[in-house]
Amino acid sequence: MGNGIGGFSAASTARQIDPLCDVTVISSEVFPLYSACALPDYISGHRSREQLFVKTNRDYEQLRIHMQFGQEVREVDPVSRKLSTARGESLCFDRLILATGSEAILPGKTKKGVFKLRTLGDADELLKHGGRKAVVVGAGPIGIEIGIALQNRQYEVTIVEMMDNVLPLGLDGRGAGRVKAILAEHGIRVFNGERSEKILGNGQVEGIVTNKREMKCDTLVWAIGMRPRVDLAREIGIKIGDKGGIKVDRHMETSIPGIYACGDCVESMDILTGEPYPSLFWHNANRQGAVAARNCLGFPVEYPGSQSILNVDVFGNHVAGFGFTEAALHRFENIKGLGGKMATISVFEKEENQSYYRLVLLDDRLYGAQFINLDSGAGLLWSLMFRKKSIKDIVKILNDDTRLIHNPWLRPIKPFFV
Amino acid sequence: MNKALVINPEKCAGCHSCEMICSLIHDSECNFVLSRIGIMKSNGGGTNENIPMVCQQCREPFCADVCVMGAISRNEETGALIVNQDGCIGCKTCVIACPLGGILYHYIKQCSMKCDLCNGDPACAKSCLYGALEFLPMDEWGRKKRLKGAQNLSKLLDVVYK
Repeated sequence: MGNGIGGFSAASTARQIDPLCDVTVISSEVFPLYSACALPDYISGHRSREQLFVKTNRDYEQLRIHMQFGQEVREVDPVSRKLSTARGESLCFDRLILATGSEAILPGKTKKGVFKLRTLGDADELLKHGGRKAVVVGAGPIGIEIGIALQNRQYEVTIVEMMDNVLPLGLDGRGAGRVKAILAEHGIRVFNGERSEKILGNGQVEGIVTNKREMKCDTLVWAIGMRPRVDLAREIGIKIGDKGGIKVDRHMETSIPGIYACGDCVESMDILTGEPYPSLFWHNANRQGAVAARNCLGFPVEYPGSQSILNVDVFGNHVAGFGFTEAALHRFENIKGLGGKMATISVFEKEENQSYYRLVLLDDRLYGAQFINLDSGAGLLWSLMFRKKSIKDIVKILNDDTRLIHNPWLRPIKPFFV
Repeated sequence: MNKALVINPEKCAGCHSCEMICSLIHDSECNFVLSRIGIMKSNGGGTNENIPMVCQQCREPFCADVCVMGAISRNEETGALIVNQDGCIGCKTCVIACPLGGILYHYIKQCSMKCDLCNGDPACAKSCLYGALEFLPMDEWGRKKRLKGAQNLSKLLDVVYK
């Protein structure tokens, strides 16, 4: 159920493993698989609508996947293994994979001129609306990308963020300050630490009131985050975790045997801390789908854990980050739970004219990194991070030329530590 | 996949001819910025001054994993991972994700670029005068690798027993 990347990955993996099994994809969307990550490019006009699609209907036919697009599932009976759709059809299944995805958080009533950006339909609506003055609420990667895209369409853009930083989940103070400066340089105003309180206007948006000021606008975009879509799972009686996603084990199986879940709707464990959280990333959904399909068909595979990666292009400046920020590590209630004993946080940081990097270490393991305009070595650090390598061992190799000869791939990260 | 691009860093002289031929073939221009292969120079120390770095065509590639457009796929004939440049949105996530720096950003076309093994006949291997780059069948590569491993081990034993 669901035709995002999680659902498609599960369906195509099932077909790959077992050429004879019967695979049906039921989705409320009418389109084949498209990339929601490319929607800001579509809004800014850099990509056409056709270029958003990753797969065509023909690909589904070639994989012999039955398509049931534009269908809502009404009821699922996990005991007799039957489900019924809104059109009144009923289907039998041996195994069910839930990939219902996520939805944008949209507080309050919708008015004309209030938008979110989650699906292709949302983007089409936003494009049809001709406005001049836009306020984007939320300065996460989606908020910033929409802001830049709208500015490309000749909008006057303001971004309002409740937290103290832009990109609060990806960057710490100094890096975020740089990003904010870049945005301001190109004419996007950013107000940090302001909570939006009221939307003005009857029927049509006329402005927004925050706790510090009142702004006029004719377009309002909510980009304050995504929430897993778990209504159906709750109805079936599947356990929902504390963070709002479907609870799954390492095999992506839910609390009801025979029903699996993958993608944005589940909360999977983080690869570093082992704590469950809903990870709303394309690559995690892709892997989870493959793991769920294998386990469905009786090939036990374990999901190694989710990895987070942030990647935004801010007016030609490449902003990237992965893992946790220092602030996020401080927020863990029980830091000693991570390593078993008390741990200390240390930071490597360097700021130059064009570039900036920051590595966050907990004891001797890398837990996060942030880069601006710096590509080389980032991938190596990423893979070292989730392999849980000790930084001490790596620095030992970097400082010893004889050992470095045998590990030449470590060379690009030498400048970070020496 | 029955052939692989093999790198012998100890034979590399650092002449950069592979970079030149690579960019010439793919972009009709001799420009090391547009080259899919790169000779990395170590800053002093160590006997290997030059190391050619190129995509290893991983079996479970990170770059294809993280691509939000599904634009990186494997050519089953040559075994190379290919970037579909029409599909690429230039987000550079693959550049970040690759641990070896095998995938690069094409600043002119505004998309990712990587080694495609020249459709099964790599020009860099043909142009290398020193034998640092070779395009070998897998079994031959395995034998050579084992020989090289034995040489490395004997060197290491020399260090240990010195």
